[in-house]
Amino acid sequence: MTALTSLPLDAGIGLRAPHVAHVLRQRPAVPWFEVHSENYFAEGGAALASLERVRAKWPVSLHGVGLSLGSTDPLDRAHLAKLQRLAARIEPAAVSEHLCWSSIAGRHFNDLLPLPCTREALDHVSARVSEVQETLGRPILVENISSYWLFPEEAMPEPDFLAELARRTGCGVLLDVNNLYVNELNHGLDAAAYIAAVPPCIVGEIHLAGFDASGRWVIDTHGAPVAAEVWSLYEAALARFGPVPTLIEWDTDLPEFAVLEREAVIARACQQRRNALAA
Amino acid sequence: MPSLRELQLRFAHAVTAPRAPADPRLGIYRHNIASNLRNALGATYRATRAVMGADSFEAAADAYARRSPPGSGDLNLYGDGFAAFLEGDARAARLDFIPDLARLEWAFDEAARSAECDATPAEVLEALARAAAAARPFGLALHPSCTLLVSRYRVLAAWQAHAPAPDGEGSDSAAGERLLVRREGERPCVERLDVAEHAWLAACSSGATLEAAAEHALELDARFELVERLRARIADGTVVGVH
Repeated sequence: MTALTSLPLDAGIGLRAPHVAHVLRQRPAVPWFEVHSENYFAEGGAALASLERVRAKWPVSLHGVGLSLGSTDPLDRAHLAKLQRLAARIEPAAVSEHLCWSSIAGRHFNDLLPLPCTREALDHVSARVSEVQETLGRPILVENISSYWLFPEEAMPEPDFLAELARRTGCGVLLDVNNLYVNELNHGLDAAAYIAAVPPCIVGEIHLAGFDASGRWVIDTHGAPVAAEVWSLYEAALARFGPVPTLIEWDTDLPEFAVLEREAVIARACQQRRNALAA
Repeated sequence: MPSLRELQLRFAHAVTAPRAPADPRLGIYRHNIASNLRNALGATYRATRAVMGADSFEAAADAYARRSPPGSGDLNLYGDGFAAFLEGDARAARLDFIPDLARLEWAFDEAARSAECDATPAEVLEALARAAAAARPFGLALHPSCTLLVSRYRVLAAWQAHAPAPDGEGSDSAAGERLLVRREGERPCVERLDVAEHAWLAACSSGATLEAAAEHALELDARFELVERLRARIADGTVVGVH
């Protein structure tokens, strides 16, 4: 089996545009970075040149937000071609996308919309993931999303959906532990049971982030520190999946880079504790 | 059970219909989708937003999103045509220069992400010498980042100040302001052009032969120095080849 990623088994940081200059200047001791693929789809210019400079020093993971894997529109081959061009240029350590759809009837919503876990959706997403992987010539990781809506048409639990998707296509899972907790708060999903239901060998990466619980619904803003309950779930995930490359994601109300580094240090400490227990 | 496509079409309708959905959970999506688009447009059109004011700009952004929803999963491409939309929009109509300001910002955004061009000035000069020696008509290729703009207003000053265009000679409709937006290395840049050089580069850009483009410039200004301008534009990377 082709390795799902070549990411270091360590805690990386999601790199956003306001931090790029700082990172290139200070060269922080971060083991790897992840960026949103679409932000580097340009054919040239400063952003792409900066990413190449980052890549010269660190492993980089390309995390897509716009391929619309679950849409019943035809797969956007122009979008996929741009991802392929970027991957050829950056030689990423991982490529990931979301278990969601974000466009229909030619209209894009630029948001991660929920997909019902039905047999039809499984067949559909499996075919699309296979096509993406054939085009890129590598396996991708597919991430579970946070959602505010559950379809009554759900036919199977999401971990089973992901396990079968991985079995059929050879893709891996990017397990977002924060998304599980947000779904637990919003829908009563049992996040710990979800983790226990995902087959260990298919998890290629873990995401950690913060949410906003100030309103009636918990909103997955990626704009706060990782919550204590999410750290606990992360430890349960490490106990089950072993050492897995883990990413600190922060997208809104972006703080100074040192705040993200501190979050990554906590994740690394969790990994080291788990490794010590396993030794 | 409805098909996946039916479910997606229904969901899409619920989160984008003019009337807010009854279920507050769908309302979260509706809010996120609208605010993502407002923020994306506001990031591209910073000066336009500052001049229009946040409320007015966001109302225009919402109307634009209904008229021209995104057609790509790459949000960086969203906003093409916003300037033309503003021309017919009452919120921008009270300040005539706003569509031109938006046009300048879009050109700048495009220049920032346009394709690379590897040709060095020495290579361009060589290609030019070869084309001249071949004794047949040829045109000049401009860097892919180049956009030529004409405005009746002093839109560059407005963009630099994030403030309304100042009155003065540049706002005279006969003179106007002519701009070249392009990328030099990694940095997008913008400069004012005189009437003749603007006409020359615009003709080159639309595929005219070097001779026809130069004649066009000379008609507007008999003092137009082709050799000097050509040398300068090859040196600064605006002219990148011949065709």
